[in-house]
Amino acid sequence: MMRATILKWLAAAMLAIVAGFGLPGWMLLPLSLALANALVVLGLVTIIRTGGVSFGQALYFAAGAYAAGQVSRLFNSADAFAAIALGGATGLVIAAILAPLLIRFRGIFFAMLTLAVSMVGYGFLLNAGWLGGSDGMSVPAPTYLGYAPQGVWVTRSQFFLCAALALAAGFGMMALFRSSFGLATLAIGQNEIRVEYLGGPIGTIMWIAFVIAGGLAGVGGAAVALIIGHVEPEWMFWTRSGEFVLTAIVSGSTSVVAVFVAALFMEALHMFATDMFPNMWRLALGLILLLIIFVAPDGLGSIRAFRRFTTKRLGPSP
Amino acid sequence: MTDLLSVSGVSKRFGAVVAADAISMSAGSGSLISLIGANGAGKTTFVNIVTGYLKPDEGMIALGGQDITKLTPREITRLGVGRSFQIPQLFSRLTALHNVIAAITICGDRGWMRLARSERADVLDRARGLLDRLGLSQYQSHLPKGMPGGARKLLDIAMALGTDPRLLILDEPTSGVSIDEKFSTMDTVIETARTEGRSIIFVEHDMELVARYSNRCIAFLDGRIIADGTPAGVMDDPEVRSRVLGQALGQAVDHADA
Amino acid sequence: MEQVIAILIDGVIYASWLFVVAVGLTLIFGVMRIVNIAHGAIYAIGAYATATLVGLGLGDDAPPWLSLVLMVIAAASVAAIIGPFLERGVLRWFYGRDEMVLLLVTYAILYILDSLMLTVWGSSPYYVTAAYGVFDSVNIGSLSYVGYDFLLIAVALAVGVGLHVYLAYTSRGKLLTAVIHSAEISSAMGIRINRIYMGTFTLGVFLAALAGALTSPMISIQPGVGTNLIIISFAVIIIGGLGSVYGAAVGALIVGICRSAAVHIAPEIELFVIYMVMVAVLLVRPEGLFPPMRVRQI
Repeated sequence: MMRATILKWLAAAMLAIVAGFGLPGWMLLPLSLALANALVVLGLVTIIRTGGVSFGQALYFAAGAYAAGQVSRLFNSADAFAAIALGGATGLVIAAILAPLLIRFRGIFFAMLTLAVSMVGYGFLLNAGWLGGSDGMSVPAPTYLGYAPQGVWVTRSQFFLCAALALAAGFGMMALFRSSFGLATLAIGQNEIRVEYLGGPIGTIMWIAFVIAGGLAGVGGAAVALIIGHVEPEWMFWTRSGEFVLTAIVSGSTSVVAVFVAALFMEALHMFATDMFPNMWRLALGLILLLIIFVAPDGLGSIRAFRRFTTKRLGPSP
Repeated sequence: MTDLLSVSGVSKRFGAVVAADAISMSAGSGSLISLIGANGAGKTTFVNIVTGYLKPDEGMIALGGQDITKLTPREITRLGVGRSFQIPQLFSRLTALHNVIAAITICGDRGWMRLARSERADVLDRARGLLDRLGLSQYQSHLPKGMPGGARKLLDIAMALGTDPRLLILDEPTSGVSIDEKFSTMDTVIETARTEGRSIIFVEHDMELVARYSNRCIAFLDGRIIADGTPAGVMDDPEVRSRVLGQALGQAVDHADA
Repeated sequence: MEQVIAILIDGVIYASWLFVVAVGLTLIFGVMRIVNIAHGAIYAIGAYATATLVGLGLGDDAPPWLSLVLMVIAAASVAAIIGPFLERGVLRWFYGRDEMVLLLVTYAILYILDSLMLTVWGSSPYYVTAAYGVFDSVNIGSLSYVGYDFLLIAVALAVGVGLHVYLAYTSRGKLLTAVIHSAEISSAMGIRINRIYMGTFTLGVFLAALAGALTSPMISIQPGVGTNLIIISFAVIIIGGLGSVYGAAVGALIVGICRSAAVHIAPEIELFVIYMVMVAVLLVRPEGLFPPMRVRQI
């Protein structure tokens, strides 16, 4: 990685530390949620690069969340890191199993199939008594390698956890997007035949993208579960997948930074709008979306000015 | 000495249509072969079969002695066959430079190498070099839609070259290229490939280009090969003249003689 | 045995209004290649509009059958207002783009419609009860049904037969069929594609709103009524074949009877079953049971 990029991520880490100590709890909470959601969207965007819009990422998100909730029952410990690890692993494994089936589809059918599969999962969760059924299940407050936070430190620890996850995932995914694998994902999304004729292993690359997305979604879900303290089947409902897709539209699929900006923007919109204009924020969101789709279908990340701000590229580029 | 490419008894039918009928030919390395024939005669089918896009009903194709009949385009590309298309197959939202980088890295990187930066120095050098040699440096930062048709064709060829092929197959490399540019395009492509020791098979309709740039010509008709020899010899063949080159050309030549 | 009959009847009733919703959806896709994910919201608006109209139009002594008339008026108004507005005002700007882009556009529209519904009607549930008592109860064996439910079956049949006649026998309908087969060729042959698009979309909207209007007495009308329905509708048209009217009918029957069987025998797996069937169809025969023949694109 270029030195400049590493420095930028270090600066972001500093910013996160300052924010964690400086900002009040009521701000840290939505920030944490936004960062966790950003993880899911990072994964989704990787899939979108290969040409398919998955309308079923909530499957892995909720699976990770439920896994996080089960950690304490399974291991008698409410350790946050164990929960995150188990959540990520759950999302990853489910994705690894489903991917070979799903990646055979394109376009509308891919969207429909991913949606339908996640709804099967939703139906399953509704009936799974051992997971709490339609009531869902509670997730005990997390401890951090033995440390059990009190007071404002509850929120602060959650934030630091989410920030650490976001920084790690963001740095890693940025490296991945800039790698030859990352370029291959874009290529597949733009001309599969050409990739075939360049010797590219399309199936393998798409499978890997899917598995990464599943893992990221699982981690995000686990993080959110730890924050909210409760999981329910609705987390796997198709509208939740749709929210991830909306954020991905806003961010586009080329820039990691754009994903975080979009996630923060969506959370901010949600927060302020539900306070002031409870019925209108969806209207605003819909209109913004239409505008983005019309003007910049590759999302914010593809807009020249935004790109120049975030990274030095070799001219208009992926 | 094993041939670079060996095609024996290849046939392909689509329902009642015979697209390829007992096609046999072989080419050694260093070949410069042109394929001619009317539209629908089977040239592109031949290319599609050789590159693995279609599977023949009968027959065998071997590359450097290795049987590639059942292989996919992906595997065949990896064995050293590069291809350009009648309608350029490009990555529409990547710059010309990144198109070539993609070609180089998708083909060249394997396993953990795929985690290496796509824009690393050696790849950038190679990509820029390729663009330069094909006269596309000015379009480096352009998207395909911002490039003229001829340049897009050359970019397609540049990508094929990016796979470092020992056999380069070009499907109508100058169609859509303006008349004044046809020669320079072919000059560039053939020159580049030849100095790097690559063999070339190209599909072409323009007989002048065929005469000038190939030392062997294969004529197709209704899915069969009806002539295989030097361009001059093939163009003199009576069946080729009447069925492929058309009456008009034949008459023009006769009038010129009279 | 009696349970089988009960399952079948319930299944057909459910399938009836499902068909009315789904056939609009499949027509919009068949003609315009648009997956209208906002279709469920239109269903909801039809129900809300009916509630409002019925509330306005019926005094205590108004004849109950008037509510049926008001339902149709509500659906027609919704279609007349929303249909052309969405098609000309929003969708038109995205024609020619990828199918997924249009799906995302309708998803944005869904958000907008949801918001409008909340603003106009709020979040408390509405009820439309007047119409339910219009018809007497019907007894089949020892099973007793509200007569109203059979109205749904009658309407579905009317819509199905009407569409069949329209598509197969009227010149306008044949134009539509041509466009379903290939919009490009149809346009090249002089068919006014724009008019067809607007008409088709409005028809689809009308059918969804009509289904909402007709089923309004059977449900509590509240936000979210459409979000479950849209996925079930997708299941119906996937099973039946995207773009096929007959497919929508068969798909609706399959989904309706499956759901009915599940409800009677094992209620907890009701939703599960439908989505599993949808997944199975997508994996095994994605084009559905009756895919409309599409001109092969070279």
